[in-house]
Amino acid sequence: MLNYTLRRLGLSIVIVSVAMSILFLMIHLVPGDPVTIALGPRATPEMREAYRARMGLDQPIHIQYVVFFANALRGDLGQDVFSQRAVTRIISEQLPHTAALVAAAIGWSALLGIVLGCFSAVHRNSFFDKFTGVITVGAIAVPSFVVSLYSLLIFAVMLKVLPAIGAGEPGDLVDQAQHLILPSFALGLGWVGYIARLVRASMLEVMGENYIRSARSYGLLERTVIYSYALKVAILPTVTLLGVGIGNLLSGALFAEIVFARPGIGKLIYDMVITRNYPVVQGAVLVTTALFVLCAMIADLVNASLDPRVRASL
Amino acid sequence: MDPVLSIRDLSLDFETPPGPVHALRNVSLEVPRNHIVGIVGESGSGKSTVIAAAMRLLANNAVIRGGEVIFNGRDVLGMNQEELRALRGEEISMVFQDPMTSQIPVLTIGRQMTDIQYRRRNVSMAEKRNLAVEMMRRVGISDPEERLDQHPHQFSGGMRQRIAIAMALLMNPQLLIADEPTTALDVTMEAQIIHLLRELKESFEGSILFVSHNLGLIAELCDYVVVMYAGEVVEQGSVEDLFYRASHPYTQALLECDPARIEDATPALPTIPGDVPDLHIVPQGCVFAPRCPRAVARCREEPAQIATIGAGHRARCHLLGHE
Ligand SMILES: Nc1ncnc2c1ncn2[C@@H]1O[C@H](COP(=O)(O)OP(=O)(O)OP(=O)(O)O)[C@@H](O)[C@H]1O
Ligand code: SF4
Ligand SMILES: [Mg+2]
Repeated sequence: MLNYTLRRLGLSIVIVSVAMSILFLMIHLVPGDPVTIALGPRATPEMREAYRARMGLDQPIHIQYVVFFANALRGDLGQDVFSQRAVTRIISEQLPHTAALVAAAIGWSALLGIVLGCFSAVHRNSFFDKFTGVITVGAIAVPSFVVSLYSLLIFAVMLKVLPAIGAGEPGDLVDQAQHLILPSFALGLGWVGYIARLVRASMLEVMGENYIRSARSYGLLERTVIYSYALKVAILPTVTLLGVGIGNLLSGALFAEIVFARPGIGKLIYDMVITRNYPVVQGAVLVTTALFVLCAMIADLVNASLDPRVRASL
Repeated sequence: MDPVLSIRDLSLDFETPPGPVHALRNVSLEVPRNHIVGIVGESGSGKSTVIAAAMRLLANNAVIRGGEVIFNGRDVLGMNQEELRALRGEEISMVFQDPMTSQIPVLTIGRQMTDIQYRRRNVSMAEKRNLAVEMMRRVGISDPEERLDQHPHQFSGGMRQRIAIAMALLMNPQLLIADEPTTALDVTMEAQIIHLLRELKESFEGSILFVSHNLGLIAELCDYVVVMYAGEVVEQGSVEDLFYRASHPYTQALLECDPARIEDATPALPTIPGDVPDLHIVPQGCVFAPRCPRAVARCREEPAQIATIGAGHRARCHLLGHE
């Protein structure tokens, strides 16, 4: 397991390095001058020169590449073009808001999705199963910005029961939690669908396996057979899905963050793209990519720790 | 003494889209206490279906049309889920054909073996583990203490079948059903498992219902034999009756086909020309008539009745008994 963890970590580092290189190349080799992109077409030649020197863009490309990596390793992702603040600082201010939102969204949707999927599989073809089938497919089909807008309209504007805008008072946990409800609902709804469908399908497959028939032949309680045996195997694909899902939502929370005017990484990237603040965009994309890779890695490690067959094949 | 298991006139259909498959028709058999009964028959003759019915572990599309299954004087077909659970594992237990898929992959063998003992309320976890260790040793697994912490995939097929037997015997059932427990194993492993079953029969107070394709194994292991063909029992009796006084043309065909192969313990049954009938439509006369070398006109018109040949020796054929 230690061996596997190290190998998996190594792979993650390689993936992040490749992603960093692609990001670097995209900015420097793709047609369009980064200076023009950052300063806009009406910048004077003096402004351009000053900016070029400050950003190290006057250096040869391979030096820039090495510097970029070296700086990233030191935790230096450059400075905001306008405020000169460190990009890492800006990101670390925004990241907790996104992390809280994603955790809340995935948390409630995983819990509900697993329960619904499991129950549907156990009571296959019942009214409950068919009803959840329709609901979950619906939840998958509705785009999350539509859910965001409608939930905002209903709960915040019409009923006025939940706060809608921002992330809540800093330091006031109850207020912050209340501000999480609507966006995490909007963001998680589709995931309830995905998770429920996946859990149902893998549960049905596992319930047909020979070892479930043997478990029954030993006279084990039905709840042992279902929850201690079948679910332990059926949950494995969901762990992988959750790893990818969490990584995905870190940058995919954008719509919810815009609609609910919440601070966060998605909102940050969006704002910085509009103002062409490319060091911040680059840094934020890098951090979300690294987090995505990290989540996928954690999911794989959790999977290996749950499934001895995977451990054995490593 | 009354038999531990007795199946009387059991008829069962599987509902399928083209119509019902009449998989069992008037099947009767008995398993006497402390004896081994073998069921032999070609693939599709209904062996697995009979034993699944005995434990009520049937597929969802199975419909019981008639008959009864009596275990220790109790009607298994009338039991509710709670009673069935009390029956399974504790009184009847089963070893399945494929050892590679019969234990859950994500739990250790030890955990699975202690789970099976959940009904022993007054026994501590440590004691349950000790019982598991002892059972593992009895089925011939060395270093059981350490091996209990391993997962199923860390064992070979033969060892997994031993473990399956250990699990089935943990609660001291009175009847162990083994459905082709050696088909998935190689010849050496097979011999070891058969040896183990024989040994266990001496030490554990119970009966074994042993299903096999293999006449040699049946001859080696069993006291009584039931021969099935196309969903019916065509002949049954003691091992001697069956091997020295086979009366039904099907049993005779099985034996005559190639007696040497029986000695060799070849895994497959000898081949008899013709095919097993389609069980969607049950023939009007004897089910074996299309393949029977001795069939007469009457065989195609009237179903054959059961004839008693000797004490406990019965066969279903027009040529026997009442003639
Ligand atoms: N769930 C099912 N649905 C429909 N038909 C079935 C089902 N299970 C078994 N059958 C049919 O019932 C008949 C008896 O099957 P069974 O599995 O009992 O045979 P078997 O003697 O155990 O054969 P084998 O030696 O191949 O294991 C076969 O014709 C089979 O196709
Ligand atoms: S009843 Fe006729 S067809 Fe059937 S086994 Fe006897 S002789 Fe053969
Ligand atoms: Mg079978």
